[in-house]
Amino acid sequence: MTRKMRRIFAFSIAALLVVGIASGVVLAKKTTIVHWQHHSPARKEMVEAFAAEFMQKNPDIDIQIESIPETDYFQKLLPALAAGAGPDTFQIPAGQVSSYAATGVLQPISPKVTTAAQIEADFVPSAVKRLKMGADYYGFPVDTQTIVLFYNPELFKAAGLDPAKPPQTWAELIEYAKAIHKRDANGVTTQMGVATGGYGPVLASLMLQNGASLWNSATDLPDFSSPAAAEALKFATDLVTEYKVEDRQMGSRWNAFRQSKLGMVFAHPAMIGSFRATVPDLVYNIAQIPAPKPGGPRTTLLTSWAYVVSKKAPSEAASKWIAYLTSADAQKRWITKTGDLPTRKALLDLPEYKNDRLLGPCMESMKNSVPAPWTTRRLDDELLRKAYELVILKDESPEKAMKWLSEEAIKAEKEQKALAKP
Amino acid sequence: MNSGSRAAVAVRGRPLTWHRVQRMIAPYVFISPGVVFYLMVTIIPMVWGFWISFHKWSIIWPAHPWVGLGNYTALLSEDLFWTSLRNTAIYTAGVVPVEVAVALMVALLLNTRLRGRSFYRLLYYLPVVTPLSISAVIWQWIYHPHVGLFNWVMRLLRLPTHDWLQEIGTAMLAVIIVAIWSGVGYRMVIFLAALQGIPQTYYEAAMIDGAGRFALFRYITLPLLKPATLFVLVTSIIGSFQVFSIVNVLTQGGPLDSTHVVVYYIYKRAFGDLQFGLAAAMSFVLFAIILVVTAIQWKLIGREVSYE
Repeated sequence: MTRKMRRIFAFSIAALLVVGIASGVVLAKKTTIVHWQHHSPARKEMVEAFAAEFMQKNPDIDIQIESIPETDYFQKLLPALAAGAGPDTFQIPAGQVSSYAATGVLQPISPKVTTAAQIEADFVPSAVKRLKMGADYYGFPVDTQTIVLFYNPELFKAAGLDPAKPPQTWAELIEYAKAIHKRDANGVTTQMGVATGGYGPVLASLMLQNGASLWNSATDLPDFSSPAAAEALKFATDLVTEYKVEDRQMGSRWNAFRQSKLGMVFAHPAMIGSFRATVPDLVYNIAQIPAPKPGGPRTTLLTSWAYVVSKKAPSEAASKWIAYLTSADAQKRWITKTGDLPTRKALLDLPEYKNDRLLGPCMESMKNSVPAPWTTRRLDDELLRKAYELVILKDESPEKAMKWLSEEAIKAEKEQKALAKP
Repeated sequence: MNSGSRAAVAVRGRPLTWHRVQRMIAPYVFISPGVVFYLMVTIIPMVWGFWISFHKWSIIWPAHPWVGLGNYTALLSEDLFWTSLRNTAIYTAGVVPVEVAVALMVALLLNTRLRGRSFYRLLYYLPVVTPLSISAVIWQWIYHPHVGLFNWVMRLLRLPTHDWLQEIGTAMLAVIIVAIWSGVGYRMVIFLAALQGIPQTYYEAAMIDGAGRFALFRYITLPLLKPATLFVLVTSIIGSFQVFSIVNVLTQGGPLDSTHVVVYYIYKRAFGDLQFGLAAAMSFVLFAIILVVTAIQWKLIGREVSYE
């Protein structure tokens, strides 16, 4: 190598280094937010679109989205948080925000983005109640769901029922279901009247409607021992065992509803998005869930997740991003694409929602919603369904099943509380 | 050079050159990536898991108080753990013998000069490579109470129909059938490989001596398949004790815990309830059970196995 070539080589290396450092400095100016959420195709598409818009409005912030299948979500999230290498923003069940916050892996929403007073002024109280610890809010509500009654107007008409008048009481629901339910000559169900699916939030909603509080404020623990709770469980199980208008042999209640083989189904409004994507031509209506007695309350359990900010995240940028995801504009788009209910007060009474055949009853259900007071996820996911199955599969009395449920719920909740206070 | 080194060199009779040192080290250098990887993904996590089992350990909580044998004693009052253990034993008893027997029969069949045997081999192996999420959907339809294949056959035979995945009495049977279906192919390949390793001359000599088909199988095939049988049995039983995915996608442990198995319970206690200490203790109890069962198998069958 000649001296000249050595000089050119040395100069090139130096130039590369300078350019590299300079571009590093430029890149370093950009704040990167790594966002994790559990996967659904519609949700991923939405969040990616929001990210693109957000980055355009905030060129100094880069959003990196990772959409993880729900079955693997906590397997990835928990070790990542423990290792301090987790995402900057992510979603967790709203009931668990206090547990996560107590462990120190979360930080409150930056006051530069919004204040606690502003959150309380803007959001429906039931949607943000579980997100507050002390004076601070640790997240924004997302995937907010109540329980409503989906029904098939064609099957109503065929059964001689008025599709404009959905059932208002439990007794009417049974009457309607009997009218819709059909069996063949062998007694095999060919068309089902109604389905709860024994789904935990549906059962809890029926209990709340019937006046059971499900929570003992003296012990600060779940309480399913009231006669009102047992009565609600009896109502749900009687649909299967006594009135035989819900037949588990029909298989998936969603498939039955999609095929117009099911008259009424208790479900989350999120099913609007699912039906829109899978059976766009399906004709159905939505009503608030019927009350136990005429004029009774239409209370429904509110379940939701929360977008939260991890301890290590750049506070302002991360809070700004999740505030954007739950802004009024964003919530308007969430409801049309995925069926996630808006949680901002200002949106609930908008005429376009209030007068909508499908969304109107969902907005009303938001006003009647109560957040689940417990922290343990086992209650919604597992224990309520087991109490239901104890009655329909093992012929236990509803009272005995509720006694078992109370004991198990207290055990599970105590365990979660102990985790948060080691 | 100290006296020890001098002695070593003297024993070998050659000086310790750099080339010889390299040759001594080389094998260890070559296996080191594998050893490091194995340490990282198996040994260290195992030791770490054992350590966790003596602590109250919620993965995201920074404090992990020592509880000694507390998690192990807490297991005694975990009713669902014992239910899961019993269900796992039922699952293992239902899956392993049938799976091994069917795999052996299929391997014997496909080891003959059957027309289109490559196609059949592929057909039997397909369930092994089919993603469980896809097979689960297919099986859910097969088990469908109204339109499913199973109940159609039951109706043809004038037998009572069932809601296979939703009834306490049939859910475990339904899971066992799917497990056998998905596991036979892999075991069949092992038996097939072992069958093809048996020299033809043994059969020829026996046939000259007048041995019939059953005698050939009883006195040549079966004894010479013992190493493969032992391997298949041990791995099948270990795999059965570790069943998780099939239960997770088909029944989620229900109805009423009738298909709740140990690993599924461990998973739920760890990632659902954040009880990692307790879940680690359960894992080591399961490990001990598998170890004892494997040792018993080894004792009963292993010593009869000849690899010559």
